[in-house]
Amino acid sequence: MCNLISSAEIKYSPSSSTGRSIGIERNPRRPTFLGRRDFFEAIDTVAEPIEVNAGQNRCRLHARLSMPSKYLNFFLFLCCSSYLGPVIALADDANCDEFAPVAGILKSCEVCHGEGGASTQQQYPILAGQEFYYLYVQLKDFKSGLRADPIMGPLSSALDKESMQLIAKYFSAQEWRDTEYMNQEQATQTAKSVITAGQCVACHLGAFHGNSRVPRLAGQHPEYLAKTMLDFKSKARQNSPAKGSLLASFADQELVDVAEYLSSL
Amino acid sequence: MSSKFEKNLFLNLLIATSMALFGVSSAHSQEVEGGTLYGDMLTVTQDMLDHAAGDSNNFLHTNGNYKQTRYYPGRQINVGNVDRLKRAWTFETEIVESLETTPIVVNGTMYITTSFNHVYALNAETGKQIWHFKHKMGPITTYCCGPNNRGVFPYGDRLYMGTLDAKLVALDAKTGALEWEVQIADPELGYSETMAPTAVDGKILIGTNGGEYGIRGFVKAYDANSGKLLWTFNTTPEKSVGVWATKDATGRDMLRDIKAEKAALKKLGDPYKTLGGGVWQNMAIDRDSGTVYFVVGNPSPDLYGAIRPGDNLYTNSLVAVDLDTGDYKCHFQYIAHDVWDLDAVSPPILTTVSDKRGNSVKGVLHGGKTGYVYVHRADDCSLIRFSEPMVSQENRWVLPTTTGARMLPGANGGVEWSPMAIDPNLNLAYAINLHQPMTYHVEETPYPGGKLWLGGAFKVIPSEQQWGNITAVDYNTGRIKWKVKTQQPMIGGILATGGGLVFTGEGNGWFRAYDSASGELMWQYKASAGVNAPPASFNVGGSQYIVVGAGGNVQLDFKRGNQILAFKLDR
Ligand code: HEC
Repeated sequence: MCNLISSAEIKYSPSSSTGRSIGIERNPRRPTFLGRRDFFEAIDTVAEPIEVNAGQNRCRLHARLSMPSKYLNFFLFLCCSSYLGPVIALADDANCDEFAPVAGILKSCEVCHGEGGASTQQQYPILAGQEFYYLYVQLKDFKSGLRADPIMGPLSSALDKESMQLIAKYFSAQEWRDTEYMNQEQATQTAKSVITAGQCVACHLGAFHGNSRVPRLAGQHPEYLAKTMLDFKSKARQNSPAKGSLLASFADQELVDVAEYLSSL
Repeated sequence: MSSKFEKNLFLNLLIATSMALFGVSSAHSQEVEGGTLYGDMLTVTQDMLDHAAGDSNNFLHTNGNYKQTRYYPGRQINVGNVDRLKRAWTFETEIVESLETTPIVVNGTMYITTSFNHVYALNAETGKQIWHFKHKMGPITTYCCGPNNRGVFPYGDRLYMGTLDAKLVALDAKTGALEWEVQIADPELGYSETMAPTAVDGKILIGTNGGEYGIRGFVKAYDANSGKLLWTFNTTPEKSVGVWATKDATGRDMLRDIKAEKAALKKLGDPYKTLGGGVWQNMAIDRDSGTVYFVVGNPSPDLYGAIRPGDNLYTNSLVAVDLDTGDYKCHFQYIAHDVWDLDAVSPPILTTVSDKRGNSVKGVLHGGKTGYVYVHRADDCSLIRFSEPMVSQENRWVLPTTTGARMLPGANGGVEWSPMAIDPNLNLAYAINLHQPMTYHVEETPYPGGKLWLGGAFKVIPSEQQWGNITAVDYNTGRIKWKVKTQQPMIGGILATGGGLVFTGEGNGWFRAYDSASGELMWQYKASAGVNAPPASFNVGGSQYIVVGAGGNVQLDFKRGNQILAFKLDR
C-alpha cells in the first residue's frame, strides 16, 4: 500500500475503499456513480487534460523503461492497487508513492482540514471524499483570486498545476466520514422549499453527492456551508457566477436553514 | 406447449428465414405481425433502418425511424385488448438515477443505457442480461441537467453512444466490447453528450449539450467505421446577428431593445464563439433529398442577453443541412435573442402535411418549449402554421429582472426534450407538456470559462400548483383534438402505435395508455419510480411488447429508480 505520511491513522487506500464503489455496492446513501476504482483508472488511462504526473519517486524505475506517460500512470495505479498482492509488496519495496512530491504540503493542509482532509472543525470544509475536479478548480480559483480567501489565497499561490491535481486526487480518494449532524424540523421545511425553487438537485444530484465539477454538499459542516452560500450571495465568493445569482434570491436565514439541512443528509 | 403455439413457432421460423433471405425489407408497406426468431441476426443494415417505419419486429431508432414519427406499426396490442396488458419482465440496472433511454430492439436483443453511460444488452423476451458495458468516465464532466443518456444507435455490427465526458464510443453489439472512442469536444469547456447518435449512410451524426456553459454548438458527422470526423456544422455561424427580429414565431413582441443591442454589437463584436446553441436530440433525415433536420437550443448565457447582441442565429431554430457535406440548406428561428431558455429541443418529425392552400406537402413538425406545435415546409423550412397553445401562456415575453419576473411557460418549457409521436392516419401529433410557472432573474455575467453560465437564475415557485398535459394536435389545422391533464409536469416521451394507442409515463410512476383518437384512458400500471423515458415497442416470439424505463428524472426531481419494464398481453 502506498503510505502517504508517517501517521498510521491516515490511510490512502483507494483500492480498499469499497464503500465508495456505489453502483456496485448499492449503497443507498450514494445510489449512483462510478466506483472510485473506475475513477482512478479513468484519470490514469483516459483523460487527456488531467495528466497526473508521477513526479519524483522511486517508480522512476518504470519510467526508465520508457513507457508513454499514460501507461506509466496506469502502471502506478496498479502499484497502488491491493488487487495485486505481489505487486503491492513490490511497490512498498520501491516506496512507490505517487503523492510523495506533495507530502509536505498535504501535511500543512491537514493542520486545518484534518487527517486525510476529514475536517472535524466547523469552519474548515471537509475535503476527504470531495469530488476531484471540484477540488482542483477550487485551488486554481483560490490562486487566481476568483475565490478570494485570506487563508486559502496565500496558501495556494505557490502551487503549480501538477501539485494541485495531485492534492485534489489525494483528498478525493479518501473516505467521506459521516459527521452525524442533526437538524431542526423547521429548517428542513424551509430548506426543502428552497431546494425545490432553486432546482438544486439538477446539478448536485438527488443525494447531494455532487459529481465532477459539482461538489458534494451532503454531510458537510453546516457553519462552512452557510458561510460559503452567504459569500456567494454577497459576491465575496465569485467563482461560480450562476450560483451567485441564484443564492442572491434567497433570504440569509433560508440559506442557513439549507446549510443545516444539507449537513444532516 | 400447445400445438397452436408450435404452429406459431413454425410460422415464425418461416418468417424469420424469409426475412433473413430478403433482408427484412418485406416490412416496407405492410406490417409483419409474426415474431422473429432471435439468434445471430444482429447486423443492422441500412435497408433495415430505412424500412424501420413498417417493421413491427424491431425498434431500431430512438424515435422509431428516420422521420422520427415514434409510430410503431404493430397492432397486436390495441384498443380492444389493452386492458389485458401485463408486466412480462423487469430488469434492474446497476445505476439508480434518471433514466431517459429508449430501448433499442434488434431481432430479439434489447439495448438500453443508464445515467453515467452504462449499456446493457438484454434478451428482449425474458429481460435476462447478455452483457453490461460501463464507460470509463474521465474525471471531468460538465452537464447541466443530470448525468443522463438517451440510448444507443445500432448500425452494422456495432452500437454507438455519446458519453457525458463528450466522447463517441463504438461497441461490438455481440459482446459489448469497446471497439473505439473519439473525443468529440472538450468537457472542461462545457461539452457533454446525452443524446443517442443517428447513423445513416456510413455516418454517425451527433450534436452536443452545453448551451448553459458558453460552448459553440454543432452537429458532427463521423465515419462509422473509423471514427474519423467527416464534417462539422457549427450551429452558431460567424455572422450570428440575423435580421433583428422583434417578434417570435407566433407573432408576439419580444420587447428587444434593438438600439442597445446594436450599440453592444459595435463594442463587443459578434458573440458566436461562446453563443451556445446545443443540439440535444436526434435529427430527422429525409432520405429522398439527403437532408438532415434538427433543432438548436438556447443561446449562452441563458438569461443575460445584453452580452450577446443580435438574433443569435441559429439558436432556437429548426435547421436543415445536407447529409453528405453538412452544408446549410435552410433554417427557421422561433425566438430571436431568447432570454428565457424557451428553446427548441424536442426532436423534429417529418411527415406529409397540408400547406396553407390545403395541398399535401412534405412537412416538419416541432413541439416548442413555448408550448406550441410548429408546422413547417420541409423544402425551405418556412412556417406553415403553429398550433393552439398546449399550455397557458402567462406574461410571455416579460423581460427577466434582477428580482425575478413570473412567466409561463417556465424554463423547462411547455414541452421539454421529450420527443413527440404522430399518428399519420389521424393527422395527430402527440406532445407531453409542463405547466410549471417560474420567475426569471437576470444578472450581468461575463463568460466564466466553462462554468455554468446562466446570466441569472430560473426559480420554480413552490407555492404554485404544477401539472402536466398530454395533448393531441391536428397538424393540418393546428387545432387541439384532445388534452388530458396529469398530476405532475410531464417529461420523458410518448409512443403511438398501430393499435390505436399512445403510451406515456409520469413522474409519480404511472405508465398509461390512451386511445389515440379520443384521449380516453385505456390502461395503466404503477411503477416504483418516475416513468420519464420514451417508450418503445417490438415483437419477439410472436408477442408484441411495450417497454419503458422507470428511473425518474433529476431535472424535475421525480423519484429515481433503476427498472426497465416490459409488458405484453396476458393470453
Ligand atoms: C489555516 C487553516 C487552513 C489551512 C492550513 C488550509 N486551509 Fe483550505 N480552507 C480553509 C478555510 C477556512 C476554507 C474555507 C474558505 C472559504 O470560506 O471560502 C478552506 C477551503 C479550502 C478548499 C475549498 C473546499 C470547498 O469545499 O470548497 C480547499 C480545496 C482547500 N481549502 C484546500 C486546502 C489545501 C490543499 C490546503 C493545503 C495546501 C489547505 N486547504 C490548507 C482553511 C485552511
